[in-house]
Amino acid sequence: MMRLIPFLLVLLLVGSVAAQSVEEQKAAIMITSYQVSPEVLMPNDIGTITVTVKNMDPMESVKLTEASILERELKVLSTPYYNIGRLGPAESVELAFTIRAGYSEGIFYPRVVIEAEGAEIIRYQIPVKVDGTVLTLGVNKLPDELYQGERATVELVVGNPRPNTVTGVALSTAAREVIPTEVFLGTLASDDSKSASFNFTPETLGAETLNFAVAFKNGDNAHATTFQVPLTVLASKKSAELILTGIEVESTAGVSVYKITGDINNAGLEAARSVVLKIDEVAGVEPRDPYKSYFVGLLSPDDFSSFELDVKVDGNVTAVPLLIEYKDEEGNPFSLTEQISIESQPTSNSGEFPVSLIAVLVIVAVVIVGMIAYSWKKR
Amino acid sequence: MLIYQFVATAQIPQVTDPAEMAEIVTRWITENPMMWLSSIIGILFMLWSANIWVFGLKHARNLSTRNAVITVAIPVLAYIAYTVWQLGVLS
Repeated sequence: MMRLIPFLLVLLLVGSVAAQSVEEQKAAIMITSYQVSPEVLMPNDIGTITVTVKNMDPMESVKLTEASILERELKVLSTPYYNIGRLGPAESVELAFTIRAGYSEGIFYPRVVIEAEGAEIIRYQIPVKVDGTVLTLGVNKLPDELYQGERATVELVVGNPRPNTVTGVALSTAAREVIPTEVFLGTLASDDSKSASFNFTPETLGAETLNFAVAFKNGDNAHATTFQVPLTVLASKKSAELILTGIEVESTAGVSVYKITGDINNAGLEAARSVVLKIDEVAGVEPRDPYKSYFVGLLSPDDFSSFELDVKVDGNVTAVPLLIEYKDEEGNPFSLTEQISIESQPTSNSGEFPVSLIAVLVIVAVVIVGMIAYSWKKR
Repeated sequence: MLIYQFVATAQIPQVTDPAEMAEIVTRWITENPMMWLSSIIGILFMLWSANIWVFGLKHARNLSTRNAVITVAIPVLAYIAYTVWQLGVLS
């Protein structure tokens, strides 16, 4: 009856823990369980094998003399245990061995050897899986078309096709047009997936590739894999399009001060916000009060607004740069410059003598000279 | 007539700066041909008036022609000089 107890106990352990088994039923000591961490190694990973050695004798203690692990494909990094000590009746001890996986994948069976005084040598083979499968990264959501300067949301999904759980999963990118640059996802169970969203605001037109990296830890081993998302950035079709019409330039007599008036129209399909018109300060051009700049504010599509600007220019300036600044719905600033030609208008002050007045002057002069001459001659 | 011609063709600028206003007025005076024409005609009529004053002074004060011319010439030349100087300084 006493000999059946260990056997029944081992059967119970096998039922509860799949990895448990019995190597030697007749021995006073036996390996009751083992644990491989991480459960599945990747090539060149470092892991541990922990075995639980139990003294099955309820009356006698056993002295453990040596414990070692043997394997060709897996490199054993830890040294064997010597003179472990006595194991009391029905007591157990855990022995851990450090191993490094090779570059080949598959299932390997390192052999754990336990030697004890007065007991048979236990040789126990532990299955260790080496699987090089890495996490997968895919695009979950992406707009059909990306437009320059317009913010788009790119949703990526990270999947774990590995047979074991990985930790410390983080998704990152070095692209400066992408926010946030890193998303931490944490633990990812086997055959599970998690998604992360990034805001992407393309600045350049044409083909562009976004590089993402997935970092994760398999046990204590850090791994990373990269993923590329090829994109094509198009010119925006819906952005605001501001145009100027009805431009009139009124000059002020005597000084080179001009009043520029006109209408600013939004011919685009999106509203332009915080629209401000101002004179760009260049050489020979100086904005003047009262309207150095003109604030229009919100300019809806198909809407327009009048504006007025005052500027003083030097004599050789023929065009004034008019700077239009506005923002889109997301607050991205835009600006464009229109050249307003300044036509010099002749004023009454700068003209020549009118012919009629010159004739009057000559007649008056002749009459006066004649009168003077006549008065002296008469005397 | 000249003043009317000058005022009718003048453009009144919208300025608020006093210094700028002074600049505009100066340019009006110096660059407007009407002002030059007005001054020249004024000088001509002043010469005509001086001629009349010479004879009037000669008979009223029993002066010789030479003395009457000198008497009238002093203020008239002073006026002409002032008028020319004013146009010259402003321009």
